[in-house]
Amino acid sequence: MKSNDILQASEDAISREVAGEQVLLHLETGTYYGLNPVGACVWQKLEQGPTTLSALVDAVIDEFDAERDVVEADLLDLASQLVEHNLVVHQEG
Amino acid sequence: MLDARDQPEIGRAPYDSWRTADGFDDSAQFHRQPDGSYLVRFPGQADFSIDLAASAVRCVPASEDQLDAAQSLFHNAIQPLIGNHLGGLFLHGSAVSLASGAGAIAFLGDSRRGKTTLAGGFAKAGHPFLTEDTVELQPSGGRYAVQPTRPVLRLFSDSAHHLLGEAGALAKSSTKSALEAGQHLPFAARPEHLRAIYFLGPGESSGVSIERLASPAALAEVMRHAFILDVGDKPRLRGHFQRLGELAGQIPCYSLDFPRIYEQLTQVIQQVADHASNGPEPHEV
Repeated sequence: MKSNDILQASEDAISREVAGEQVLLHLETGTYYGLNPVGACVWQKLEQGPTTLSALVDAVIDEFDAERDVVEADLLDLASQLVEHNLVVHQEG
Repeated sequence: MLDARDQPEIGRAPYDSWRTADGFDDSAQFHRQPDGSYLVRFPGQADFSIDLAASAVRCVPASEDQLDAAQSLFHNAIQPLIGNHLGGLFLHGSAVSLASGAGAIAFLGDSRRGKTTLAGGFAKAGHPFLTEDTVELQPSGGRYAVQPTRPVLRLFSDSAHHLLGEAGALAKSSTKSALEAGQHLPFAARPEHLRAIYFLGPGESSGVSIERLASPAALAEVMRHAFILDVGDKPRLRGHFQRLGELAGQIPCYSLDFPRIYEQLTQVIQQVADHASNGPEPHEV
């Protein structure tokens, strides 16, 4: 996955905050996925429409004042998992 | 309910199904019909045609000896499916009213996990049962009220015999038989505020095991035990998910496992009743 690849929340994914944690459910597969605060920030951005991995990195750095290298690695891992579980649609940029 | 008849071939695959406890057979099959209604088939038991536009349900038992089973399926499966579809909150489980006055507790679990036996055991110990197979919840006064359903426990013969001795003797059978509530199995006829939810484990624990579930994990569990008529109706599914999310965020939820040994049931009930009565209260809405 590259930084300019397009990511989009799946139409089959729904989310809800429960006790401070964001929970995702894939309607077709029934897969659940819990997100930590950084993941919840990423999901909020994804729900606003198609975006790029680099834009997600920028959003997290703005929100959490973290180092870019660390955020890039974490989000690459998170995005890969969300794509693997069909919660996010991935398109090469 | 219409006259019994053999279940005809449907000729198309169901869009959804429920699996039996052993995971091999379909215990219910869901079909869409050309006129927009739903056909829910319980193989060997009954077909239910659900026409939501006409607010009508037709039942055709698979044979004359399935009339009682068809009646139970209507109460314990069809009504909850329709109720959730229309925005209600119905879960697969039993519930009892704690004698301590702390409220009601619900036991959710897959078929054959002992929900009804547990409800009967609580009733025998002085905690009246509210429902044996379907927990209907209604928001009430900032909490959730468990609605009483039918004053009947459907039990296998060994469970009935354990609960009531010779008075509960039922013919040996591979299917459940109905026991009416009464002096020895009291029924709670009034709604009771829900205090906690317990998800029943498989019975692999050597003693009583109770563990608190974080709310997100509780949401995943409670979603497994909800009745969903149309898994393809995403707007309704979203609404259902939101309602269950509120429930999981407000009601303390626990995993509960214990050995399924009748001689230990009294001790299990005592521990669970104490745990529920002394545990945290639900958050107010």
